[in-house]
Amino acid sequence: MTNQIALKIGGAAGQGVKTSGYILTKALKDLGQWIFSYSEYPSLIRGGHSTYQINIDTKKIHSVTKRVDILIALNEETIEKHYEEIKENGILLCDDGFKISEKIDNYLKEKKISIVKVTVDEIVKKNQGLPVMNNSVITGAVWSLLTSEYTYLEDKVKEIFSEKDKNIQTNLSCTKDGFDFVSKGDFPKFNLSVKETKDIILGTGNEVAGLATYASGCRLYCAYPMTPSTGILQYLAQRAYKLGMIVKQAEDEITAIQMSIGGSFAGTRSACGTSGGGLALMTESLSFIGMIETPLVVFDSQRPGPATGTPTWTEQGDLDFVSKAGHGEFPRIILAPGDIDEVFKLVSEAFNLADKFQTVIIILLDKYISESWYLTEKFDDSDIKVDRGELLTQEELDKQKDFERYKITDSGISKRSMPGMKNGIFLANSDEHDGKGYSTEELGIRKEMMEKRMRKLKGIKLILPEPTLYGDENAKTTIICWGSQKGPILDAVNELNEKGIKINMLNYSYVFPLKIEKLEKLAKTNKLIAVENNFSGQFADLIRKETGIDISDRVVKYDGTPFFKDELLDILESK
Amino acid sequence: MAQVNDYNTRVKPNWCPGCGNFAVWTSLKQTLVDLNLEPHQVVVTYDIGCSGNGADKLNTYALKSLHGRTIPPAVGAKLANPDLTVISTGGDGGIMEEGVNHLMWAARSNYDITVFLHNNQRFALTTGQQTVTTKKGEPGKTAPRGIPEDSIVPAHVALISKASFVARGFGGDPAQLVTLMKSAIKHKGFSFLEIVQPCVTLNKINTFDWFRERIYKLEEKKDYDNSNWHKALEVSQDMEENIATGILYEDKHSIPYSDRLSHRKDSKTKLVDEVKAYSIDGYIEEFV
Repeated sequence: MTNQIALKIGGAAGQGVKTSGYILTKALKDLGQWIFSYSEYPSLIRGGHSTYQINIDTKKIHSVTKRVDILIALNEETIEKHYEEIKENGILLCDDGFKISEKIDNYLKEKKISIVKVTVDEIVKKNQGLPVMNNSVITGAVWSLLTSEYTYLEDKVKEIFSEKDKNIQTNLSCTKDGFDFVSKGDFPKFNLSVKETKDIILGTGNEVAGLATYASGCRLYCAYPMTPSTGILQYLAQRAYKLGMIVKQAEDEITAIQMSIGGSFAGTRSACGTSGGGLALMTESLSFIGMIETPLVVFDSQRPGPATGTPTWTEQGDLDFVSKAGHGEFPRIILAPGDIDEVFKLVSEAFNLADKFQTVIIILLDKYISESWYLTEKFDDSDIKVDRGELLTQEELDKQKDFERYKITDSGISKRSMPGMKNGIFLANSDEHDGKGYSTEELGIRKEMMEKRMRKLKGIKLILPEPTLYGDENAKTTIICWGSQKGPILDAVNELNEKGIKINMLNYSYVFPLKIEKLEKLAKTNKLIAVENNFSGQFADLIRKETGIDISDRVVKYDGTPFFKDELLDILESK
Repeated sequence: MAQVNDYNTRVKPNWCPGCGNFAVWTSLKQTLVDLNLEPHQVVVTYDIGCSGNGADKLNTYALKSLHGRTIPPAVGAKLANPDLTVISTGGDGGIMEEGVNHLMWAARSNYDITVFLHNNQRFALTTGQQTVTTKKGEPGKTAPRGIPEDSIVPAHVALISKASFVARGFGGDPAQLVTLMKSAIKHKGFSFLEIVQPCVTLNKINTFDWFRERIYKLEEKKDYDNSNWHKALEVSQDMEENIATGILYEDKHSIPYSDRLSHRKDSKTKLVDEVKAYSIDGYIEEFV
């Protein structure tokens, strides 16, 4: 059968959808398959519908498809909601006790979809298991559709259940019986074989952001829980004892950012994280950073707004907001990694950029990159270099005559001391100030200080790299994109190129301030299409503002889901 | 050893003549000298308001925050470098209104910082609107017929938030103020010092004389036991007739936040010394 397989597990929240999905994800990874996993769930603890999807491929992928080869239903609702997503000749796997309506049954027949009805109750009863073990039976059954290599699954069931479940043996026998039921039956199978792989890792954007934050020498992380950014806080908090970091769950987002500012002012590396609503609370503090020129890294994992919006879904809706957030004018940098390799790289760069330019660096993630499971080659931490910029040592400070923390310089960057150092006293002042930081309303100094701070933008623009062009270099159609949607767009572009369709993509992970050289060149020769996970095409708006180039062809999506690869293929093929 | 003069900057104070801030400023300088601290060992954070206008008049490392936010950056600085003496200052507008949550959470966390609340019962810098500490019924610029809300006693908020040191001083008694400031700074854990400090320009009711007639000192009450939290709550509530000053409450067994973190408790280094690239070995294995 095909090299690309998509499977989706659906059920009520609390039925073990995520556990089954995660076990299958880990087992498939060990089997040597390239996969990408994505989950949808409501903002509830119990009840509500949730799904977990895994796409399997022969090469690295960062996307899921709308249409699936196997639909695994842990409840009847899943069948009703998703049966039309099953491809022709696909499979529906469910409990033999589930009722399937005549309408759906006819549809399945028409599309030649096989139904694998597993005798779940019988198997659980036979093993004297609990109702919650239904999903172990199902997990075993799915695995049997995928491969005959049972031990890979068994290892993962042991690994994942050993900590939380005393009934590991019952779970294992349920899994095995589910597996045997399907392997003995006459069902279509995918026969995935073991592939040798080395040093492949599996992680979510949030986990990698946490790891990279630590590896970059950040010692203080402050946040208030807010989906989908909470994963970073939890990753660090759960390991703080080993990492030695102080990971602070603060009383609100204002405290989180202000505490991080205090830590950075004192001289350590610090960061904070939130989602759009929390960032709105942090906005005044962003402006404060602009004024006192204290380095800070701020994570914003976006979710659909406005207001509380849909907390557990995805959107690239905050770009417009964060590019302007904060009263007054001050330089800032916005980074938007497109996969976990970029998360690892950009987080460490963000800390260096913050130190170098003494301002705020915002890292835009979203639910898609924060919580999806990416596979990639093991990171190389020797690439991480810590550069603290113009931070003075005591020895250097001793040589300074009448040290001025906010000295006017050509670059706009002034030398920095740390509290506790002799000869380096300054006031980090939210009021306009002179070289020492003392308040001033002398308008000449105000003007000079404003110009000094804004001069940093010039250096920032020089140092930030141009966007990356992926796909057919000679194509005359170029997709303009940014951030997490690099994943599905790149997978679609590659597939179109394989089909002989000439198309490429210009992807921005350094999104603000905007680099325009490559873009302006392409705009002269190519048809540009903006593809964005928001309503207006916020990045295209930014491009128009900065360059005058008006990308009128905008593919936007704002229903809370990311772009699906097959959906993109359909859209782009018709362009 | 530092002298009082070392704590002066080139900026001369510009508070109204007779303002209570002069006494606070002078007392703090004396306190720091008495504690043998050098200016570079001290961080003071400021709020917005007349108290905040002292930010460039005291020669220490300093951060003048946004309105209401004097406490969180002080906490961040202390966590990053526990060797620093960290003092957070602000008025009744900043600490009791805009940022009252920070006071409560900092108190319950028992961070080893000191908060000085300048209480003049007015938004003075914005020329005299009433605050949460203004007595109910007193008129002000935005309540010409008198403020309809009840007032709140800052020391109460600190006490119910589990502050391990709560004191009250008076801008008209610098000698006592120095003693209280020293005790507050030396206390291990979160210390809160409310300084009642008349606004000579915009508060014609709660004047120096008004306070002098009503204030008494707890240290002169032999039977007052400042380890008794309930007693402190009771004694501190009167801001009208008999106003207590001195140490209202002190938990001598207070364990500061940093000592509550098992992984940082015995750390030989400070967060500020630990910034370097860290190997991902030991962590990346979880991803494999």
